[in-house]
Amino acid sequence: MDAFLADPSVFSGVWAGMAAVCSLKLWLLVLSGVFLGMTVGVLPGFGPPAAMALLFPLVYVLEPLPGISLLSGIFYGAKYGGAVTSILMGIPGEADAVATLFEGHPLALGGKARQALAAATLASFTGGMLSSLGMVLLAPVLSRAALFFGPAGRAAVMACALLLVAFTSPGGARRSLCMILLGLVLALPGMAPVYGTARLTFGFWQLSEGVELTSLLLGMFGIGDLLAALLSDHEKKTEHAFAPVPPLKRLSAFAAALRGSILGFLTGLIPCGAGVTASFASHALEKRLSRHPEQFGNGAWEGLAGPEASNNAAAMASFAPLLLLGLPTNPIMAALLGALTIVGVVPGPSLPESQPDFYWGLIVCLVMGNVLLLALGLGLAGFWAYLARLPFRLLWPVILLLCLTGSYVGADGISGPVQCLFFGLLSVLLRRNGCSPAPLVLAFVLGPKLETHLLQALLSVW
Amino acid sequence: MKWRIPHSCLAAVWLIFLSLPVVPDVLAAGNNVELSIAFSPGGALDAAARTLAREAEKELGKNIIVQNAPGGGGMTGVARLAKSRPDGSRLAACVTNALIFIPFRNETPYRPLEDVEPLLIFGQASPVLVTQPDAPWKDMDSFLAATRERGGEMRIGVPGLGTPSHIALAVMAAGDPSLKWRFVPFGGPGEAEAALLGGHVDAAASGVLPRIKKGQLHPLMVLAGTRLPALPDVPSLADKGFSDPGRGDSSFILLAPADTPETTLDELSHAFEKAAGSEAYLKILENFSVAPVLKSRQEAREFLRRAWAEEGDILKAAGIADMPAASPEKRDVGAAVPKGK
Repeated sequence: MDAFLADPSVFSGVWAGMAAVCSLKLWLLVLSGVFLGMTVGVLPGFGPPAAMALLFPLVYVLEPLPGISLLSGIFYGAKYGGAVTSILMGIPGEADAVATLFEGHPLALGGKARQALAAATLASFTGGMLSSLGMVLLAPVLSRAALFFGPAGRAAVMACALLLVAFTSPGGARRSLCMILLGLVLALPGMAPVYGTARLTFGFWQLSEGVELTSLLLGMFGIGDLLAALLSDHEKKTEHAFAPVPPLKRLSAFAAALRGSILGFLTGLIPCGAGVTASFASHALEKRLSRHPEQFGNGAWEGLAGPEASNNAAAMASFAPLLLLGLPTNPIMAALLGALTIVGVVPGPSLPESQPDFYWGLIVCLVMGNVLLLALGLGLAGFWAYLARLPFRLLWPVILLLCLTGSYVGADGISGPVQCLFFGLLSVLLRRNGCSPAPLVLAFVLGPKLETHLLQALLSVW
Repeated sequence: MKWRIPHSCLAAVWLIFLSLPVVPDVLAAGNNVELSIAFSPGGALDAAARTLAREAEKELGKNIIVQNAPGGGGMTGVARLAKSRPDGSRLAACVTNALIFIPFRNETPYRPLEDVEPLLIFGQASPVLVTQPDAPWKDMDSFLAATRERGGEMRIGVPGLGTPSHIALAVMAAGDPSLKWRFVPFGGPGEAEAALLGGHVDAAASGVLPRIKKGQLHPLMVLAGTRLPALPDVPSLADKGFSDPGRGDSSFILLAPADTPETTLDELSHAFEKAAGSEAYLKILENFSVAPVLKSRQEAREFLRRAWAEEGDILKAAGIADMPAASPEKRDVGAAVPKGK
């Protein structure tokens, strides 16, 4: 594997990939994938898995490269869409977008929605490009790391991520640790991830699916913000300030994006909740490194750029274990693995040599998808920012509706909105007591994975 | 900043925006057959059922709209089917796991034998026990010898507890006290294979033929009663003198709601049976190492009944029925009417 870098076949491979992607049909498919992904990312609840399920049958009729590129386009297009709603309305469609919300939403409220969106787009572009570069040069070597991390190692990485967030989130370590415990407890009901038996369902079979992530996210952030604003006396106001971002801030935000990209790339290679872990960890890291940690939570540019870059970098990097090891790191990658099997591509360390057109073609498609996303993102930032300037009295019914419909779609039933409202109330209660809901969300997302890996580690020595 | 968008315009735009998620449902309405697959896209069942549906469309002359209803190890899809109108417009594809294995351990919102009607069994997954290509054991006999020698320290990665491959291995171990393994459950065959390549387990139950053929994984034994045509040199359970218990759990089955009119059932099962013989379908099965086991409506019903009767003893023998939350009194769930939902 070390000889890989010196091997000229990498470059000839890239050329083969370049040749493979010279087709208009392919470009249209990538573009429509990205655009569709962006649309579903903006609609909370109707996440990329649903969009991929809808388009999955296309894999049977398309060639391998266009089919997989289309599905991947949805995947990272949705990441961008999630950032848009997080920044503008404070509703994260996906767990990855939560860390973006911490700084992005205060910035939008401060009248800097356009700049925040542009910064987020540029940061995720940086993350995506660096990660793609990493895929080309290092992934064949580094993807082995995913194998070294056995169950015990993965459980340890996740526990570290939880602790990192606990000790850096607002409200203090003690409160954050409590929130982490609460999040882990909320993740308990439903099917036990290892034994597959129903637990804590209290006789409702609907609860056998457990607490719905979409409802939790929309309730904790969307509805929670809304209730907090409605309950407080002074109306939440969007300012109309158009101060440009100072050059020095741009520089430090770019540095944050670089750090975030590296963090995201490395996390993406290991299957431990890549995007979520990476973005939370990057936010925590930036806060630690910053000379003005008190600005975090009130719109720190570094805190916006870092997580955005890292979650996109992680999204890109998670293609490496999928393609080079056949190891899916999240449900979307699992669906892609199925798609690969259907089109007859066998993932494995020899994929770059055995099917160079496909491997390098896909990487070129990922890069170009990022460029398209940059163009779309910068082009649409102004349009999205207009929406942010709507007065709060017009905006809040829309947020409420989006949260309720989103949670309905997410849970596929009325139990979604019910849970969503419940978590909204819980969130108001927690905030009044000075607790931040962020560690809770991270713990909820990582909980079942942590449990699985811990049990695997124990079962393999017991 | 003086210009204003009329509120009615804004409202209209938002309404259109909000109704987007409903679009697929509206498109799906009409005189069509809806087939829900009880697992998420990407798996063997999903691929097989989608190809089957595409082929059956030609026979039926109707559109078949395929959607995924994952969750609860297949429970969600079957539960929804059991509640829908029995007019042949709704079908579900699941793994017999959801009918035979899960109801033994969980309370299900449906009665596996009464609430749904089997139309066709259209495949049977045949997991293969694999090791690393450079592992010291090259065949099943040396692997078994190593197992005995190391006295229960060998770790086998299985794609989940209670999956056919786990049951097959657990039954092997239950039949021979000198065989002891530590079963490490993973989320699926892919994860188990990765753990194997990383050296975290000594062997794994996998199901991806192409990777075995490329030499990335070394096959030891087919964890099913019969050899796979694609791996003629790899012994099966029967060849090594073990019983084949997993057959009840690993078959792909097509279901209709109970009380669907007999003529409709005949028409549907005829079309799907023809589709299951098509070339495109067999190609997909081969890619996923699924054996083309085909059972007609009557055979499928008989098979379910027999498997249901035998399953309890098998699970008990393997010590799986006694795992947490599998209380013995729930064993009668299928025979008796479940309470409420």
